[in-house]
Amino acid sequence: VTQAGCGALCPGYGRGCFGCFGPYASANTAALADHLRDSGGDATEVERLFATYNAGAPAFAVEAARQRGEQVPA
Amino acid sequence: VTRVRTLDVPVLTRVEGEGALHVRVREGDVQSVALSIYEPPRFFEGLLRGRSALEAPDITARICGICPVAYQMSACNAVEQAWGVQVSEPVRLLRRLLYCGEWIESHALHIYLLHAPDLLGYPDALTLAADDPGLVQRGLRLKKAGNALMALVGGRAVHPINVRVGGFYRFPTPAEVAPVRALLDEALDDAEQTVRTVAALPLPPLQMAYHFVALDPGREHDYPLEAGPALLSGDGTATPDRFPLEEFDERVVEVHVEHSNALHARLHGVGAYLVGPLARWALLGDRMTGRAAALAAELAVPRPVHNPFASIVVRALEVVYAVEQAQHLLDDWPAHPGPACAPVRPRAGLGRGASEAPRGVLVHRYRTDEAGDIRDARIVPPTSQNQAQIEADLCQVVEQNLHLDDATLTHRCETAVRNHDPCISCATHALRVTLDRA
Repeated sequence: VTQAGCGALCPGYGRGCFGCFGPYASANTAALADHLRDSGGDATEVERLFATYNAGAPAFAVEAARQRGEQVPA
Repeated sequence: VTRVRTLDVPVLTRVEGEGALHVRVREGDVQSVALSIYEPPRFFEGLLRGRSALEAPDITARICGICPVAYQMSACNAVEQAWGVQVSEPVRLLRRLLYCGEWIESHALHIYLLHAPDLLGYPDALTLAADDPGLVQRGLRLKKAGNALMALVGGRAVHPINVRVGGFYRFPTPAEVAPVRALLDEALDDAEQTVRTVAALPLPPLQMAYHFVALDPGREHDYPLEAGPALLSGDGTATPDRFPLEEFDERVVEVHVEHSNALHARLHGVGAYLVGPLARWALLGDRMTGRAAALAAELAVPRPVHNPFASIVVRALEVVYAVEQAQHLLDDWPAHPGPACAPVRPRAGLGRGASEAPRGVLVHRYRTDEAGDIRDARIVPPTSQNQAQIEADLCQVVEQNLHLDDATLTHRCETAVRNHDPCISCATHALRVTLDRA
């Protein structure tokens, strides 16, 4: 769901991508978020992933709001 | 007729961030000197609230693109103290190495691109490069070596991603180390040449009686850098006063002044004080070793240095020291450094951490709840601490140079601000905003 350009730097260091370059076009953030939750992530952790850098990008902002339990447009 | 003379620099150039300078002289008396920082406040301390303290190194790094490592190190030190995390010796050494990279790139940037043009009589580094391309190229090579060290340890040179509370995500591999180590021999030559070049610059005369503050690294032989348990405070001649970081909140008071969006810091019982290369040199310069120490002796660099225009010489000595440290750290890097990260258990706590950013000591304090989330944060960067002293320097510069014409005196004032390499973007990270609606 994130824009590449860094050569997957963070995964190369054994940590998750935090989206320095913002969301990818038509990113399916909900599918990734559900997967992260199913893998044991709690809502706060997943929300923070989308609410750090580029928190105002619509794809990230909507997913962060969904994780906070807020109503979001379909 | 009352003769009022005003000097205004509405946009200061060759500093990091947005600031201005206003000086007012009436009948030969300096009435007011204001380093006006109008860059908007950035609310980092506010936005850290409610975030996990594990995120503090990554988030606070974004305060500065030139000294992100300083934020990462001070943040890690503070959170590790709050949670009782002990980092391994290889982790500490690798942090020192990463920080050497930052000192090299930040100091090289300031010396060659921001400060040298002033002292050589050029409007900027590009014009200087037209006349002396070799000089500017040397500066860029040095900066590149610093960047390469940061990328080696941190993953990238700006906002490194490999730093975490407890250590690193992974250690660099021997294959990654080799090409960077190969850059450092030339970098040492460049750094030594830098000292010789800047030591020969014609410097405007000025003698200031500074009160210096620098980090006590808590290790007998180290020049202060990646961590330390206490601060040293003094004039550089008498034995300095030493106080633990736990006392920082009582000793250093931050105040809002009307003309600046960055809080001014005052040391209790002292007032304005200075952090940065001059402070480190004055209080702990005897910890310089190797080529840096030999050059300082050969060129008879005084200790303490009282002329702020000579800060460029101390900065250059620190680059030599940092390159040599980096060489030793890489040469002695263990074959089996053990785990890259210590065990970390988030819990409720209060921790303070400090490190020596290129511009001076940077102090972080975090209070966390049981989940390890930040309840409140305090970040005191070097430029906030230096603002009052920079204004005091300016006052002297103006008083002693009233015979200069406006353009020359204004340029002298700008140079005097740049002596302390202010990072305005760092200084406006602050939390509080005062709205005067009266």
